[in-house]
Amino acid sequence: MQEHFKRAPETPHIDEIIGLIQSRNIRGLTKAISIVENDGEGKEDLLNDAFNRGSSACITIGFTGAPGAGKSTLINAVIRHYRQIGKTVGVIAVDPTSPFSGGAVLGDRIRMQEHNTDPGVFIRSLASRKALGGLSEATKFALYLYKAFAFDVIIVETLGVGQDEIDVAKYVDVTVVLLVPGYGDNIQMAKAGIMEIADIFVINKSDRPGADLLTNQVSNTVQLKPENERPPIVNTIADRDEGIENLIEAITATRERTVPHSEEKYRQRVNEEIRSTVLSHLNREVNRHLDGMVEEVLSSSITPIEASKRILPLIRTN
Amino acid sequence: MDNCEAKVDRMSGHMVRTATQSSIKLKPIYNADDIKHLSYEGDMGDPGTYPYTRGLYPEMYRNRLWLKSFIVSYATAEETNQAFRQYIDNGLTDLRLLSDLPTQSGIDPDHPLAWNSMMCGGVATYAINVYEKMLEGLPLGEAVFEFAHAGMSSFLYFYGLLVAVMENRGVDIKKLRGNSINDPIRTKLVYGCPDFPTKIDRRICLDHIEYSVRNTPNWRPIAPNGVDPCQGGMDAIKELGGCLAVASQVMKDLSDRGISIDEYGPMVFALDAESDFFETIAKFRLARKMWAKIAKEQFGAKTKRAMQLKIGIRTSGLSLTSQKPLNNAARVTLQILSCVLGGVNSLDASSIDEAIGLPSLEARIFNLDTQHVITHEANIPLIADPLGGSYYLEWLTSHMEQEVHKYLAEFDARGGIFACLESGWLNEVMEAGRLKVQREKAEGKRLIVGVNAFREEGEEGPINSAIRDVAYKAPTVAAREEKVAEVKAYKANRDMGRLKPLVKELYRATKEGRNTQRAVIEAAKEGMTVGECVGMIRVGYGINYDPFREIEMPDFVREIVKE
Amino acid sequence: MNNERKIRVLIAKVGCDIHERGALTLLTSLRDEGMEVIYTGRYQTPAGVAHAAASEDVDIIALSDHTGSLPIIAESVLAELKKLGAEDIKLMAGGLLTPHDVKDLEKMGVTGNYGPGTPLEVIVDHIRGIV
Repeated sequence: MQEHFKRAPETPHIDEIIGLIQSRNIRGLTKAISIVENDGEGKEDLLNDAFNRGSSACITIGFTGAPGAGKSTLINAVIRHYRQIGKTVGVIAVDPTSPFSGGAVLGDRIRMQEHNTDPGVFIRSLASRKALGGLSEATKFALYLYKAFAFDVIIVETLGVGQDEIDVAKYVDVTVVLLVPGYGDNIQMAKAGIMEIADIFVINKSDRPGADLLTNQVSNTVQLKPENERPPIVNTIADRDEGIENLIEAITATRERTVPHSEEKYRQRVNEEIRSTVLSHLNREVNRHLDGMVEEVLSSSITPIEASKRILPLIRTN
Repeated sequence: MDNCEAKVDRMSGHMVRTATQSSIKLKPIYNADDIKHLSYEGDMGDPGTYPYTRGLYPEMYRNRLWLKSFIVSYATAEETNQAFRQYIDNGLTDLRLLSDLPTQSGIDPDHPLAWNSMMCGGVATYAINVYEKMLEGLPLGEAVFEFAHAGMSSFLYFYGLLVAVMENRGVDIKKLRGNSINDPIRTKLVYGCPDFPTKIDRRICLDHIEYSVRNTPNWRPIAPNGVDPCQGGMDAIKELGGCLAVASQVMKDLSDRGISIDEYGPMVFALDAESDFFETIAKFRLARKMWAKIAKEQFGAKTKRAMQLKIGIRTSGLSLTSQKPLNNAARVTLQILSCVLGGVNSLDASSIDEAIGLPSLEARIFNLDTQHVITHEANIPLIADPLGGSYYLEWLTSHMEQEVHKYLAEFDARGGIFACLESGWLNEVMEAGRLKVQREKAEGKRLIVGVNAFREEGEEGPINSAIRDVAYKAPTVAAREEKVAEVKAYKANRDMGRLKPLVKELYRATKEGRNTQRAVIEAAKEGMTVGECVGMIRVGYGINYDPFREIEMPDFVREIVKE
Repeated sequence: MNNERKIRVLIAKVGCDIHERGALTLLTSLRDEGMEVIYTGRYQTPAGVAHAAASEDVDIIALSDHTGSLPIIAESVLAELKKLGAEDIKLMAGGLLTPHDVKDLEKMGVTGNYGPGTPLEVIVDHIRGIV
């Protein structure tokens, strides 16, 4: 228990961190996450090691849904249930970075605090930083590290806005979409892609007026799929711990059902990851030169198209 | 973003605001045109006449001045008792009995989470033995008492202790006078009190009220609290709207229990006296007016008493600064004045050193003396509602009424105030208000003298230093250890043969939906602690004994559940 | 602004102190200054705070308390951090403080120690200087 937290050196060498992760030391894991978050030295070694060590025995679950749907409260209850059956849980909780200040309030943890001192639960809050759209790099890389740490269950809680909801489905085994009655249901459901990516629909706050109506709406939409592909619909009241067992069952069943297809999904994920890593790097490189190019266009010496052509050869490959 | 010094030319000086503290835009002058839509009978009325805008009584303070009170709660029961006696000698008429924070959260001093905040600014009143010491020699049948605790469990339990002590001393409990805050919205909205979930809060709120109505008719068992939401970020409109909504909902719930508004009697609100002078006065007048109308039109009140809203005040702690604390004297004086001009019933005014630590004796005496000066030297209470008819004030009162109605409509649209609490909407509104004030201060659009304007550079003068010299000593580790040992010994030395059946009765009453108040009184007499009271009720609802999930239920409770 | 290092702060209230406004004000202000801030809420235990800080790899814990118990709270949080091998995490304090408290806290290595009404820029500069 306490060994998990054995002292990590102040400015550890990357090999030390890798060693700490191997021995399942929490400080090592969280410092590793900080290194990848901040694009620190040794990040690539860390990630390559993690990738090679990654356990496929873990189940990764993504929770997505609009802010206010109760994701954190639901996840808190899910953690409780997994702990009761002796599973270790790692949580990645993402909150938005302020576009004005670059700072963030990371507020998901407060709803999961009953697990604060449980050595079998690890919760790390990440700010979305300036994600290109979709899941931030840090989130994807943290997933690698969590897998290397061999948690039984890994939970990703997404922002619930923008592209990342759709994106998370590519990176996890089971995608749970959270809906809530009375929140402009049609808008929630009409969001491009949201109905397609769900492996499970959860209707939280099911004691609210409109819950039955929403359940029916979702059910009708789901009927359009062939029977063996229909995502189950689970009703929950997360803050009363109701419906959670059904959700866990649905998650386990989904995992079993999709195992035969997992190679294809894995292929897609690797494809996506390579692409997004390259694009992130490109983005950083472009940003290095952008201001200068803007000045040149403004001083009327070249056009924007010409400016973009000039950036390309300047991109470093390392 | 800097906490920037407001760029106010100190010499020529001008105002940076054109609106009240609650952002009501103001013209430079108001005249008869602005209030011609109002009718004297319908909107104002004489003091003592419906709708009581101008005051509850025809002669107001000429007959009886407002009650003067403040919180007297030190680390030990003995100190607190001594202080009470001293203040009574100096004109204190209303005794506010408070407890330390862990007790208010529903746990005993021997609970692990109590350690850090134990006995800080309050007595650890865990059981009847402490109460007996605290109330020794005090005129139980004559004084007015107040419970302003944060947690709902406190009202059920401490009212229970007060009644228990009175009965033990042979004092007729029908004489008990005072009030409980007992506000199930405020406890969660502002304090997030973990003792009970809201469902239980609402039930025991009604148990307490029902018992009191039938047994202690001079006790006002609920006083919806606007002070704390206001300090948390609600502006004057929302503060008043929240109180009206809570009071209305409770009246509805009480009628389901067969208690009419006429049977209930006068309502009490605990409101904030904020820095905006006229807005505060308008708020008080409006509170009386709106409650009278709700009582009559919505609840069919037939008696005068049922339409009369009493107002108890806590002046704004938020407005006090630790920079140049002498300035707080000016602030509190104006706030007290606004209360007198607003016709309130009881007043707990802040002390000038409150931003620094627990108030000193001298600061408290100054507090009372300020009220004596306003009364006996400035002659202000001679006239009821002296500002009545002021163009500005009557316009403001009327304008605020419209705004409060709009706010109340928001509750209706969202399924009532409890739905708004549970959905988190109320918290969002309060947080938005708090953020707005924070931004205004940071941007120099709301000036606080000595903090973001007219700051003192260099050393403090002797008077400010003297005020600051109030050394507040938190209880030592030794004192805390002693208290824990004391509690453990107390628990071990009780007559469990007598206590257990009484606690079992509380458990049964909880499960069977009967009124729990009497059971609490009887069990408290035999030594049931506040933590055990909370835990037993929680177990009665099938949830974990300890709100913090740190300790297990005691053996005797486990046995009760098994039986 | 890509993956530059952000300062991570944990704002903590240990025990039963219900006064939250200072913590909430600090929370949003630090966010506006570009920091990543976690607030674990009221009613925390020292162990809970230490675990959260260690797991989140924060640079500094800001303790907030208005009951006059800051030295006791700081001592227990430091002890818990030590158990977790997370002594590299710094500690600062704010709230109700006497000059005596400040001395005790400084002896423990707790810095800042700001009373109510301290201008925010002072607190922000302190954090930037110390992490």
